Amino acid sequence: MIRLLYMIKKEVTEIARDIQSFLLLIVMPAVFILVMSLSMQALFKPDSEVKIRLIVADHAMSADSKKFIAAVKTITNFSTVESKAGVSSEEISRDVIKGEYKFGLVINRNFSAYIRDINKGPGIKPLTLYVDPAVQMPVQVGLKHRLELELSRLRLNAFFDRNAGILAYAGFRREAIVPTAEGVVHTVYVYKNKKETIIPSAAQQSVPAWLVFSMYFIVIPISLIFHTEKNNGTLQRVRSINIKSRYLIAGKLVSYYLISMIQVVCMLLVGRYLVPLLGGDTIRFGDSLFGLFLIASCVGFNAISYGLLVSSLSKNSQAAASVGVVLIIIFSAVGGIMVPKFVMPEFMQRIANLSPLSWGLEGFLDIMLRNGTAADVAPRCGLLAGTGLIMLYAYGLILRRKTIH
Amino acid sequence: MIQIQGLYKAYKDVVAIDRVDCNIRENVVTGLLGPNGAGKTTLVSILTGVIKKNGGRVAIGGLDLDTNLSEIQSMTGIVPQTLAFYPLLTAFENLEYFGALYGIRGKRLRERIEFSVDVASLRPFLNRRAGKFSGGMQRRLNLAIGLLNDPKILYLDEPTVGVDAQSRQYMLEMIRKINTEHNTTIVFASHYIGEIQQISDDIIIIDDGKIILNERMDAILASGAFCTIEIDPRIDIEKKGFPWPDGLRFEEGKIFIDCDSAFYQNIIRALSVLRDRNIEIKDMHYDRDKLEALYLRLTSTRLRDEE
Repeated sequence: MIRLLYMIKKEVTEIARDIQSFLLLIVMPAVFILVMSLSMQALFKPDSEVKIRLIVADHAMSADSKKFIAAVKTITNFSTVESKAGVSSEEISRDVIKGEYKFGLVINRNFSAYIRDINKGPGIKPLTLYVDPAVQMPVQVGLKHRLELELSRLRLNAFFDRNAGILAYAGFRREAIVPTAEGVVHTVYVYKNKKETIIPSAAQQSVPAWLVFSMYFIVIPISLIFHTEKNNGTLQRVRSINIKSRYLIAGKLVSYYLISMIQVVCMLLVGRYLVPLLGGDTIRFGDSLFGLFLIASCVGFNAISYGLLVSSLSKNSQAAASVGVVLIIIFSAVGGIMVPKFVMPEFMQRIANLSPLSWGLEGFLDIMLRNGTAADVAPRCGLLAGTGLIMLYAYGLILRRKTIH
Repeated sequence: MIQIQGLYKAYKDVVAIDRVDCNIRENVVTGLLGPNGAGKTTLVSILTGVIKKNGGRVAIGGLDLDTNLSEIQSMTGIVPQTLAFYPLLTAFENLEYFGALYGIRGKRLRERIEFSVDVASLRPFLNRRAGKFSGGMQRRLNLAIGLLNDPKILYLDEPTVGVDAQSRQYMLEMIRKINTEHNTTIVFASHYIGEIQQISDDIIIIDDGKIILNERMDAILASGAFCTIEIDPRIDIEKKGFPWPDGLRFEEGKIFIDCDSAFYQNIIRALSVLRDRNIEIKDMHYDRDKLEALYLRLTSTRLRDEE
């Protein structure tokens, strides 16, 4: 037992004194979480100050088009600028190409005709939208839907204006038929075990993903230490003292587990206290601290086992670090860390379910976003622990083979 | 102390130790000399239980290596060729860590650290990170760690590689002191012939995994000329009535003085006679390369870089 304590002390001291490992495991993820939470805040905040620039050219020059422009200016998350009179479609398109605006909207000459004649069919295009191809599809779709809503509202209002008498006589009420800008869809966030409704923040949604991602980067210090020990003969020296493989493995596992948990605590504290200090939203830990501890422990165990296995399979620390990191990035991309799983095609989602990073991410989301309990994350914990054990067993076999020839 | 019979080790198709037989005496320093890749490190690694042999029998202190590895390892110290410690830890932390792994605790651990630190002359640097040590200090720390468990047998694998002459001399003296004061059996593997000649009581020369010489050092050194005095080859010294005691020979203008118990007496006698008879000494040299000549003859002079 005392041997184990000295092994743990040695490993922790080594990592604590290695400035690169410290930066990699604690500072880099903290900065990452900070940056991602603050940058993505706008996407999740309805009243965000971040605005996407949109220029509007009015070629219709009618009362209807003026009303429409006024409505477009009320769309949140967009900063709408009206161009000078007489600006051509080409000039609008050039403004978008130059990057001054993400969108250019041209109100075509047939706009008023379209508004006033309810029988004008789908072939008519009263609006042309010029789009910077770099703008993500969800933002494009959001703007198009909002423009179509404003167009419908204007059209229905015009219809009611022209036929007010008949429609009132027939019992149609304008305020019941013309949709409001707020919409009629009531959004309810569904939580596993929560009484009140909480709107998820950018930090709440991004911290778990980047936390899981960062935890697997422990492969780098693990491989550095493993190969240093192998090459400088300390592993052989330890073997000559008749230390059993299981002690060596336990020493490393416990040490790196402690480091992994310190990493988790630091990341969560950054999300909870530092992000709000810099203007972002704070994160909640969920209702089950035990559940959080459980999923963090299982992700940590899986990441450490992965790190040990990759180290033992590689010829040197550079190979271990590069292969290890590339695999993490692939598993992250596949596992929904970089791209949410729900936007993936079905077959990709099936592949995503094979990634340990996906199990870890969903586990953290279960606890921190969906207010799940330890029971909710138990199956994912089982998968993480099971694959972790398999990787650890393989590491043990390779360690024996490499140190006792 | 160590009996080796038919020891065999191969890595796939490469034979590293080829059915070796030898004995290593107790309480002496045995120099294990061989070129790079000869099998020195493999032999030491097998004897310390770090790697497994494929065949043969090894008994250490009367214990069979296969069945008593733990007991053998507990009385064994190893100083590897590489700097086998943690550069980010201080010297004290390294010693404490390895001491704890040896199972040494409390007061005994402190005593052993004190002893090892004194032997390695590292006391002023105990709290400095090992990675910041000079090459000589790192080698001494490597040695100190090997002494922590008060080993009955100490294996040193190229322990002075890359150190300056002062540190090398200091380490060799310390190793000899450990041997004489603590009756520690020492196996000293090196390819530095001078070191082996200086420190060893016995010598084993190994090449291509085979032991080609296992002999006492004094026997090797005494087996031929050690000091050579050169005179004018036209002078026939025998006609001048030179007395030829045992240990002195004359051949073609050279007087060879064997290294035996009368070595110094014979040198003085030869010099006195030459002076008395006004024979000019053209050159006089100590044949320090005796072992090297023997070594090169036994192992051949081909380079081993690519093996």
